[in-house]
Amino acid sequence: MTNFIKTKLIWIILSTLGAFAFSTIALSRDESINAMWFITAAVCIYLVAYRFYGAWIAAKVLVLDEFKETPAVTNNNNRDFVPTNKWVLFGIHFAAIAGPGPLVGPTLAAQFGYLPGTIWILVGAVLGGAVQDMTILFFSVRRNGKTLGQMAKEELGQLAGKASLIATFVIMIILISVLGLVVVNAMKHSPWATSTVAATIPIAIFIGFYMRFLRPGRVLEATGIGVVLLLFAVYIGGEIDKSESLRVYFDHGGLFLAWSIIIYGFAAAVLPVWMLLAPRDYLSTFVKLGTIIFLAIAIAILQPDIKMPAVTNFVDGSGPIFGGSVFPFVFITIACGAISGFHALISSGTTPKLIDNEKHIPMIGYGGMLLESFVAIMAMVAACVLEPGVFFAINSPVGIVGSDPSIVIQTINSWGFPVTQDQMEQLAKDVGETTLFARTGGAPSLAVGMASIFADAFGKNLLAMWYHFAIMFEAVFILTTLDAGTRVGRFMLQDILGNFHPKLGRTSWLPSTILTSAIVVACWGYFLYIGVIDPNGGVNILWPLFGIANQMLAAIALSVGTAILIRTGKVKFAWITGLPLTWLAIITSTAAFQKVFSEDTRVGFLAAAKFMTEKVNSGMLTDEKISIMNQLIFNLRFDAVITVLLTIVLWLVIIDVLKILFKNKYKFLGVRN
Amino acid sequence: MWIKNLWKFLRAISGDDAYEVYLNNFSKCTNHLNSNPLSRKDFYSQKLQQKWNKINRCC
Repeated sequence: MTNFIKTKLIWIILSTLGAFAFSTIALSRDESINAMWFITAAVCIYLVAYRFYGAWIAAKVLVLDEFKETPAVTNNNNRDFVPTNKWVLFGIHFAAIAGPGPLVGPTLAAQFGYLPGTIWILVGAVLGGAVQDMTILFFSVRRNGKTLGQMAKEELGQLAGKASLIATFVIMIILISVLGLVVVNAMKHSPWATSTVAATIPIAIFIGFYMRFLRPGRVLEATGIGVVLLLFAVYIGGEIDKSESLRVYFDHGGLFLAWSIIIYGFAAAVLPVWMLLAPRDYLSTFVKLGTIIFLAIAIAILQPDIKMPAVTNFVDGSGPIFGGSVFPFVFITIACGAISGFHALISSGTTPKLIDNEKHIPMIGYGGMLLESFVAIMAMVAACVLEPGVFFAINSPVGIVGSDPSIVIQTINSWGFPVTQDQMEQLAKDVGETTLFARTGGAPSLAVGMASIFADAFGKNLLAMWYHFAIMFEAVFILTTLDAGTRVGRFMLQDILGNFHPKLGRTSWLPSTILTSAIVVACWGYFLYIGVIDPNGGVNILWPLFGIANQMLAAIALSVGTAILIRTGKVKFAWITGLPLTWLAIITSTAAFQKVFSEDTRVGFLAAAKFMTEKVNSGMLTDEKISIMNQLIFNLRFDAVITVLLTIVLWLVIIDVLKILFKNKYKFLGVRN
Repeated sequence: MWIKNLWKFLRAISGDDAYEVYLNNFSKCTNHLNSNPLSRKDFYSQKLQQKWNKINRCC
């Protein structure tokens, strides 16, 4: 009895503490607020949500059965179906779902202030993302580990099955191009960053040979060596940067770097996995987990102050980083970290085949997403500990604030964010860069934020090292996502082409491999190229497009979940997926509508295209500028077409769900009577 | 003791002990009585092929 009271008491304290911390964040209008409030609010909310909402869904809605054998047990083949320890599987699942998304999204969304993004990360994860991951995981376990595409086809029909495939492919392409752009912007005219990132390629290849021939399968030992080499590469990068004769080899503009990444991506997709992809993934997973744990410790020790206001004036849509008002764009910009459709692909098909017992599902599905959400909160903290003036100076593209430093400073000051030219120059010097102006994409400002936290917590004189370590950390797993994504895109394409010509469908046939890899690389290479030549930085177009596509995939996954709940006689619980589905349908449709039809040239694709066409026709531009403009105009129209197509597909799927609901309405009425 | 457990966990999570697990399962499994287990090298390359033939990294 006393134990019972004790447990109750602990949960009451946790809930109160969470509510108090959350309201402190939400209501504080002071100059600054301590980052620990964010961590406290997040941790308490996650624990309470996991213990009550997650457990309730598991017990009452899904009705997990710990005595039912999972596919991993019944089909155990010692290969893809293997019952796995729940902590190990949690690690594998988390490493698979957590990529660069939760780091980039919150950094960009910080232009609205810390509050809108933080609320969405917490609420979205607890009520949306984690629910999606867990229900899809459970349904896939009960369907022998079927993929989302297969489940969509069976539960909603042919169209939904195809829709999920198309949405997956589109997301993959846009995700890879925007991530490529983030890396390019981080390396642009930075010999230190470029040489460090370049060094990761031979290091990965060396580790690949080591694990294949010298010491087969000794993952930890090889990765340990690799991590030491990576740290050494960061140090050597600094020496290269200091050397006048060496630095010129690594000092490149955006276009050269974009082409390098395109060629690299093609090579990575065609080369055998053991050589580049697998070793790079081992390195990136270790660096990723290590850095995130390190960052959490540093924030806990240092307890930095958040300097960004709770809400900025840019909620009206005039923000420099991307155009568009806080509704719906904060929900689009932060996809991973709140709810990400991509996770449904991992939660079906891959992880279900490793689940040892159904009772592990809440921890892996719901808990895994909460941890990713926590990573997003830390990214938000890292972005908001910067002086807002510095944050905007780094992230505002040339197309908005111009390229003359004194004018940039003037513009940012006029927004009400104090920053001086000396301050920016000193900061650039401290982190070992020539300039930090217009470094769009989120990676550099996140790196400055992380570096300042690390430097304050562990040693101030190493700011430049920390900065380039952070850049290396981001680049190394962005490139892993790029490699892996290109490869998956290739498989999907081979699968489709196999319907027309069986030989093309064979993944081991070299000509097919080369052809399909080239097509996939050309697809994302195109968007990357356009992003680089776009004076507005490209990220402002590509990231919302990625967000819309990713949220639409989430909507499809939630449609599958809702349809299954309705079909299995659980109509009265269908709101657990139906509610986030409704919300996603509203925000993606609104965002898609605004992206296509808005009159604001910074939001609407068509308005921007029209504006540029007028500029081209005015005859005031040079031939070179006109050719760039024409490419941008074509791209804007192309983006509009993609957005419209995705929206149509989404609504066709939702109509399927509504049809199922309608067919089962008697059951629904029966339950209510 | 906890260091030993942590090390065990790290090995499991990274796949460092995958071959030992495979051998252990193999010896317990009667279906394989007529065949020999894969070598460490072959096992590792087969495992990588399986791992990277599907979506297993995300945004």
